[in-house]
Amino acid sequence: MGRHAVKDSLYLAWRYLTHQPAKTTLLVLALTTFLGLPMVMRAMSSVIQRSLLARAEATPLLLGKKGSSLDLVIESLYFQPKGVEALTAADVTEVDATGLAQAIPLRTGLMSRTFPLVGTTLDYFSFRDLSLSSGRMLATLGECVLGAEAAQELDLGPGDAVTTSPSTMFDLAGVYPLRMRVVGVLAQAHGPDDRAVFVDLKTAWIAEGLGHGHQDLATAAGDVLLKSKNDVTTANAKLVQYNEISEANLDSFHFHGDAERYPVSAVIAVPANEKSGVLLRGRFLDDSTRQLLRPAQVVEGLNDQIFRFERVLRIIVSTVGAATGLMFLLVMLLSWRLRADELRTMERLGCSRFKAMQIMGAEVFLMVGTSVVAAALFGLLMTQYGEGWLQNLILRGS
Amino acid sequence: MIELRNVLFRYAEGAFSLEVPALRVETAARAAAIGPSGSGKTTLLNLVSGIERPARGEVHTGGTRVDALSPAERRAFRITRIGFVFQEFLLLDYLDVRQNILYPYRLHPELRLDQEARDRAERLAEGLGVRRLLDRRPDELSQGERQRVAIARALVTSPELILADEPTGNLDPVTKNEVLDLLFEQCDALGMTLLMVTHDHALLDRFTQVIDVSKWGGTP
Amino acid sequence: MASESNLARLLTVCLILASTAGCSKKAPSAPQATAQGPLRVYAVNYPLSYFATRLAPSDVEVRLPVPESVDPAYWRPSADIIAEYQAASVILLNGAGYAGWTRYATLPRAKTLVTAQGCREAFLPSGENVEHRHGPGGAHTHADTAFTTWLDLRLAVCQAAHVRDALSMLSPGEQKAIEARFAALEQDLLSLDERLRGVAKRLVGQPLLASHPVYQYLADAYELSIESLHFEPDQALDAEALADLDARLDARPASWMLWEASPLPSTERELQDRRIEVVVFEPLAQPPREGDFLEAMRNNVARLACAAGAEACP
Repeated sequence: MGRHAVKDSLYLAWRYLTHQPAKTTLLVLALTTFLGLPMVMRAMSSVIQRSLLARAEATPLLLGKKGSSLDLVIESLYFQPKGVEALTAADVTEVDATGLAQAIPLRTGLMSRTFPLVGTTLDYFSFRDLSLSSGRMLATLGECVLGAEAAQELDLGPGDAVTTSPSTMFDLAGVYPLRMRVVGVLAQAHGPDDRAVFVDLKTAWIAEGLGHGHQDLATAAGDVLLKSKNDVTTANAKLVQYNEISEANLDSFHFHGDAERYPVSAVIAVPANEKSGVLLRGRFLDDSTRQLLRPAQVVEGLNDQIFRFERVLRIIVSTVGAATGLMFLLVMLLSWRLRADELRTMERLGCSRFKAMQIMGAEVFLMVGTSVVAAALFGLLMTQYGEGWLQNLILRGS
Repeated sequence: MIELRNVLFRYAEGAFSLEVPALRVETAARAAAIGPSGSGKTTLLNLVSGIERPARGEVHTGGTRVDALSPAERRAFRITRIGFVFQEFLLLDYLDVRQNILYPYRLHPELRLDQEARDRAERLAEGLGVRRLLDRRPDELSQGERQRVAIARALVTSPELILADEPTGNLDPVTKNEVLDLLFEQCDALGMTLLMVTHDHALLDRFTQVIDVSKWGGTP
Repeated sequence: MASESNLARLLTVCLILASTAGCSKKAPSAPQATAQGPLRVYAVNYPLSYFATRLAPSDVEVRLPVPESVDPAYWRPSADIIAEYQAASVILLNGAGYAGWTRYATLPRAKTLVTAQGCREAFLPSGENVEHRHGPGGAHTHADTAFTTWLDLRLAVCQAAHVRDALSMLSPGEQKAIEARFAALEQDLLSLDERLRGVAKRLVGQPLLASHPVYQYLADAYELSIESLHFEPDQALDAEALADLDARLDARPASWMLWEASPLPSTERELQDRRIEVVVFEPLAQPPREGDFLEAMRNNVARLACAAGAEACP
């Protein structure tokens, strides 16, 4: 009999709540948010621990221009453009020359559709232990290799092409999008590499306009040449510049100026051993324009910040939660006050006080229960599938 | 069915009092309680049903001395043995007609919502002409239809006594008669005693007993 | 110096590979032959391939996948061949812009060694500059750098020394043997260098012609005055070519002309008519038909010596 009684109370509560969908939804949402926030915070901490920190720990040292260490780490390890000031190729050579570490250059900040374009060398792939799932590795200028997720979302594979996105619409120098041939797709790496478009460092330089290919001036039509005097040939804007590197025009691509001065966003330094790492760090300790940092240290700092923030947030969430709870109760009390006629009818019909409270309690129980389930589901989904989203949230917001 | 002996009732606030030296309503009777507003008609219903307790005297309903029961016993008594029909209908908007009729079954563990109850609800709905409305909600019904649903709700637990407080007060004359006919019909068919508060003297000749409450209650 | 960065890079990579291979604390060992096969050294031209072959231990394969008829300097390898280079244990590049394909190929930085880097302060221009400008970037030159560095035999020794260092890092256990083999190679090259200097002394101040601009380092190292044309050994000289030749002879009479390979008899006759002796001096970017690098260079020197009257003709 008791079971039926509870069932009846739940039934009446359920019918009432579903009869007021807007109010019920709002209350459930408020409760879910309050319950879900700590779960999101915990998931964020876990994401940082698991993936962000893991990636940082896998990157021994990072050289960049002096400035925000967090921005440098975020752009270099997670490929979120932060506008870090660039080093030069000479810095890469310098690290190599120390004999203390292998230098792996990175050129970031460019995009291909919505995916980060990363210019680097072959050493990056062996360093990150990235393997191919299809196609082959980069061989020449103008080729690219897609991360697993980039390939999936763009629906591209070996043999297809993808274009870089111009870095600024009003670049008067006219940096045209570069069309690149997809030659390979990487296997899933469960990290930022999955969403990147990898190119040779030189291709990245061409993409940002530091190198180009054009018609042979020696054989160009007359209307292309502005003047040709002695050994100096000047071409006008009619000169055809290639926006795709192919077998036919590969030889025409070239760079101007000293390649050692070309930009490099960061250099991953892989020391031969711990002692070499310490020695290398010592060399850059007093450098006024550059910083050599341990990404793990920076991300741990981020983690500490989030942990501190989480503690503060827990206090805030608890306070807000208490307020939410009180508001919820107030809403329920007001709601029952508005339903005074119903309560009176129940009493007149012979409903016991306990039963009336049971019905009221059932309404509360259903809403809170739904919120708990929703928050738990949300937390589970966040943990299972939200890692990438959370990672972006943390990195973009950092 | 109903017997009041030397009953005195007073509200805590105000000067209203109802003093009933003696009142008797026979089983299966159709009794009407009349009197001006504030004379104590609803109070009489509340005393008979156990909603209120007299300061003095005895209230016997269906053979049970109601004033001697505890509040919980009185609620159990009401829900199992008395059916109520209110002037304002007091149906629940969030339940459909079927669930409104079966509502009393959900309010007390003594009442079991089984198939027999559901069948009874269907029969009552048929008898009161609201069967086709079972899946509708009260706000989709006319006044007359709502009151018929309220009557079905009052009858569904097979009570011995129906207490109706101006059940036709909010109805137009045509509907009023229709509803009354149905109420009388059902009460007669099921052998229930009916005690109804009414302002409408034109209906009095349809009752077997008329109780003038004004001689017992009021504010001096 | 820049060459030190090359070697430093290789050393670092070897140490990293060694330290991660076993994670042990003992002295780093060389990258062992993997399941994929023995250690492989890939070169971009024959001289480097020759040096590596002379110096490498037996378990190291040396490869030069350039097809026979193709000049390695202008070779365009396929993606598959580039992949082979990428998989090599060491990639020997020449330097001085040799092998243009390496400009656009993606090669692992850590495994490439630019053998001529640091061997001289600055590389020589080819003499084929074309300055041009387009866009707002200003004037710039697609300056061609002369790249047949090994024709300066002392520079060749420097390149061979870098190859030695790379092989030593690759096979540290064979270091002594490699060093011994290098000493022998060095001896061979330096003694040939001395002989060539002796021959060149005879030609000081004597204008020479060359069929192609490939002898810049030879000229610079041995103080030869060489003016280059663009004659192909397997093509007859047309009227324009002859006119160009005559004009140059008018300005600067020459008695000898260096050729990468024997010219056509008709060409030889035209030159003889102008009292120009053909001296075949193979640049040896590709393997010679007979013998090896050293033998072929010795033959080059012998032919030059013969022409200069420094030695009896073979």
